[in-house]
Amino acid sequence: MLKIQCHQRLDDFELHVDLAINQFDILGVFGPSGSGKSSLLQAIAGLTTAQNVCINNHNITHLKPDKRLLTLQLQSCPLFPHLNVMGNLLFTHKHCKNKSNNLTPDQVIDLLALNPLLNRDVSGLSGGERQRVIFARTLLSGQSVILLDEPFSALDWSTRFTMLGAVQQLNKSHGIKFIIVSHSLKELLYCSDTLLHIAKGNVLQCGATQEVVQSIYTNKSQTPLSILSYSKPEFNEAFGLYQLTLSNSQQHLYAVPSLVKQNHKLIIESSQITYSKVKPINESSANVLIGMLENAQQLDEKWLLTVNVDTQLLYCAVSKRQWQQSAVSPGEQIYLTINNLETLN
Amino acid sequence: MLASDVTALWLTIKLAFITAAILLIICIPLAWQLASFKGKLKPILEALIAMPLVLPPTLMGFYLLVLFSPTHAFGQFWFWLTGTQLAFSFQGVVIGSLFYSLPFVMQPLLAGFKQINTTYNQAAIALGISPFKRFMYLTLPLLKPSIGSAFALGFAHTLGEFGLVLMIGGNIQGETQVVSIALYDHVESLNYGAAHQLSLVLLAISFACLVLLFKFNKTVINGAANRA
Repeated sequence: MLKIQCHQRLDDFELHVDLAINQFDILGVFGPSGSGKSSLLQAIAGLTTAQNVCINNHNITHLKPDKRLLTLQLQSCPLFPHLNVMGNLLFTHKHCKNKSNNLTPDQVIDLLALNPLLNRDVSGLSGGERQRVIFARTLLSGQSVILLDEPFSALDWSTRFTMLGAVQQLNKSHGIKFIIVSHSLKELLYCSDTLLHIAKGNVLQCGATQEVVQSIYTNKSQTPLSILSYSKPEFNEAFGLYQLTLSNSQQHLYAVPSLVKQNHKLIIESSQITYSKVKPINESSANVLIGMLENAQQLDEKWLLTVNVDTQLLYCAVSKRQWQQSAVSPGEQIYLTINNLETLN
Repeated sequence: MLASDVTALWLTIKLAFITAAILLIICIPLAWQLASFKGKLKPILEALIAMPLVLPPTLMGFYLLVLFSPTHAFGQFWFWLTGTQLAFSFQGVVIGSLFYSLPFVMQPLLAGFKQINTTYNQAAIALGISPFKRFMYLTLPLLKPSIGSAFALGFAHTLGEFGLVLMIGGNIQGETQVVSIALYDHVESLNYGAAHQLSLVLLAISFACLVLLFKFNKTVINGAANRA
């Protein structure tokens, strides 16, 4: 449970947050750059003043940052240059008090595959390695509420999804609650269960991630993304691809191994999806799904189609011309071709 | 080298070492506080600390001499406490040197603390590390290059002290006659051979100090570049 009242003057606007979230595992905080996301995290962590901060029915408003039983990983958080990678990891493990999760350095090192880096000097790490080490050091503070400010922005999408998968795994296995700030909806859609949308210091929406995301799409502020859950990834040696059977469905897709993650989710951009009323013939891609058109909505020069594929929603953006020529109506069955899963762009 | 010159040289090194060591002890906590202090008086405090950079050493020497005089309350208090006078004594010269070299020790420490506070300390606060542990295990180890620079600068600057020592300590062999004053003595008595010898030694020591200083500075600069 998170309850926060925070009213503070920032450079260009006033951060005005009065919020109570009863239940969350991974809370995403989304908004454009300069919307007050980082300031909100700093207020929760006690680096700036807030009128009221309550976590898990425990009022921490007047506690100093080291007494709040939570950890904040700042944006552009540095590694400590007088210590090597292992020294940095042990720094928080040794010096943070009142631990409430039982993660050990060995567990974190294994989870984030840091073994080859342990004796390296921090100045020689690449941007991606640095962010993994910083995240590991944050985890070893031992707190059960962890705030992350743009934690994986320097990573490529494949590694980023792996790290977000680790966040979900830690939430399930150790009960650690995360609050993650990001300006990437794709990242938050992938891992968060609850989403807070803020802009210019004001809360626009807060609720289940899928609902908030859908609402953001209809307000035209983002390119639509779809998330597909699957089960049973089976490696097809002949193709060198994984066959992914969709959850609650007999339909399947083929994808390259780097897209297959532990949390069994695929993020699909609307530009990856094309549709047709009849089954595509001579189609080289095997990734064709059958779904039912639920809704079609005009957004400026394009149309946003919402398609139900065996209870999972996919968003497809098409031009006005395509929409008019296809003559499809809501309730009809259509075919969706998902591109760029068998090769990486 | 003359025996009196060796004595002057030893006294100078002793003075420079004691001054730089005491200043480090005073300046580390002072710089720590001042680096994070955000009050309105901050520019005034910084200006006060930097004053010896612009004041003529003879001016400082004159007022310190007045302060150390047995007719002044401070001079009387010191005499009551130790049974000795500060004017024309080695202790008096040490106190004068503390004021004289204060900004040279303070500035590298302030710069070091400011850099550590804005980057590393903020990150450690956010991670939930207590202030004591932050100071012991983060700030102090990261401050090592700045401490080295501060010591080398304080030591080198005290080596070349002349006007202030002459005002406070006069020219007493074995007590207050430092190398710069002994050199002045040789030149005044036209003993250029001894003056050359002493100058050469002073040059060599000063050069060694500056080499060490730049070595420390290079560490700081390289460290910052690597971290960027």
